[in-house]
Amino acid sequence: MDLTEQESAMHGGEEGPAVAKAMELLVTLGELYGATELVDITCAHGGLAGIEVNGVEGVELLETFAETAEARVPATYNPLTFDHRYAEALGADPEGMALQRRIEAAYDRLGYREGGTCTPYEAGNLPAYGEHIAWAESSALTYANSVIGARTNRESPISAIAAAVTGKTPYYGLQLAENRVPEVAFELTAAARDRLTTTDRYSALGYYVGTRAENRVPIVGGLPDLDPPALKLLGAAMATYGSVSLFHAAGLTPEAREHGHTVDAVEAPPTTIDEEGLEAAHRDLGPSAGRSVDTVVLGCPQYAADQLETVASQLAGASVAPGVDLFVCASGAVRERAERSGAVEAIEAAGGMVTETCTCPMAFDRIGTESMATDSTKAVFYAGGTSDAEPAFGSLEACIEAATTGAWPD
Amino acid sequence: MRVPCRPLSGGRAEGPALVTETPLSFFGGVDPETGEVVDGASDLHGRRLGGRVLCFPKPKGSTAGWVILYRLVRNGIGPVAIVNHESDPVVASGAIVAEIPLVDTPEGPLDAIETGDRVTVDADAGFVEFGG
Repeated sequence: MDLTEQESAMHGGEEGPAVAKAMELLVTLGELYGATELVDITCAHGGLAGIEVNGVEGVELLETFAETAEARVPATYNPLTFDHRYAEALGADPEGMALQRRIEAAYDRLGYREGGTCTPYEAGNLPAYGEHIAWAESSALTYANSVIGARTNRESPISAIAAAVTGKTPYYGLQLAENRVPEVAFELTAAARDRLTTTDRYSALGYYVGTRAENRVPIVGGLPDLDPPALKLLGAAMATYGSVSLFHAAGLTPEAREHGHTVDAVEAPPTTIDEEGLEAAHRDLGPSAGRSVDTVVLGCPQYAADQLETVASQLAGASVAPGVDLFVCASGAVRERAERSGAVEAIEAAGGMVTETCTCPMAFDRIGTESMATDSTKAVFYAGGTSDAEPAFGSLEACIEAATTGAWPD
Repeated sequence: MRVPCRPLSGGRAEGPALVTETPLSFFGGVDPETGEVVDGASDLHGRRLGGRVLCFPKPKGSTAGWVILYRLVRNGIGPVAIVNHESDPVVASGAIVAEIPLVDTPEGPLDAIETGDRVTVDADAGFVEFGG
């Protein structure tokens, strides 16, 4: 790798041991991927935040980094496990809360923005089209690449921290324009497009595309005009079920528009997605038969302020049924915005919880979940790994009904 | 026998080998509390990684795997070195912060290494040594 004088100095320990370790990591990763240089980044996202996976050892590592390094670019970290507002409902124990406080304190010393989130672009960490960035967290990085048109590889929590404290990332993969062109194509029929009326259908579409695209760059033709919440869900599902880091929506996403990418950009003919295909994908994702529900999880990825307002208006004065927990996840910044509109109060008055956490490391066994419902395919995927309960998957409307009745609607 | 390899994380260590021909995931595949392989699909299922030179073809699974490896080594129940045919950023990241040697891309065959054999991994000089 060709390092600049400044980079060599960092690598050689002139800026402290944490920066040197970070540079060692970045240089090795660069060599693994055939990069010959590093590139400056404008922001970073991601880093260890969940206490179960990372353990006290991971927290101590983070604290060691914080002793001699700090973020050189705007940086945000991943959502946390507990929200002190709802500690009991989330199954928080004093030891776990104490460990989490250490994580927050370490990120504060590192100079990261306050509060963990998986939607940094809605919490003040918003890059611009074409910028080189280093983001981890699969749904966030897919959004940054696809909906914003910034450039990031699929970073890991520790490589994202290394990027933040050095301001650099190895120049390979999706940092280069030539690696961002469509590689596999999908085309929606008009009938399928007309079915995309609820967010769970976007999720199911993302699952369909992600499982087939795997780690390639898909282009999807025939999509209706999409708003950010729909694109957020679409990308998250692709990233979870494939390992898609960048997708194009012909005529819609910025890079596709700039370069005029269509499904014809790919040599192989597009896979046609019809109504049947969409329905089959939806069925694959979860049973929809009537059953009792004790936990409803919304906001995976975390909801934006207008999505919280939608939840509030869907609840329409009804109450969460006894024995049911309704978690609606959103970042701290979004919560503040939604507080002003009264949405948070309305959800809490109904008995719901607007929590700044992540559904994925949710300790469902601690919460006592036996039967979960969600509108997110990503939550379906991760809940499957952490709880015995096969989740019910469907629209936001169905989830709200499950929350207020304790039963999944037929 | 000495086989040159590409170093990814530096250092030198030796120990009894633990060998598998199947890909291994640290996240979900190894218990961070015991170092025991819990992946039912692995032929190392039930074996513990502590003190071993772990030899497997390539990693698989979540990027969170780096911290599982790190935690194991920090607690003295992890491998002392890792040898891959083709490593990945997840294992490389874990090995670098855990400060254990990791090499890949062997320039010769390693199939003579069997579980239990004494193996030396020298990632500073860039080789794996085993056998008579």
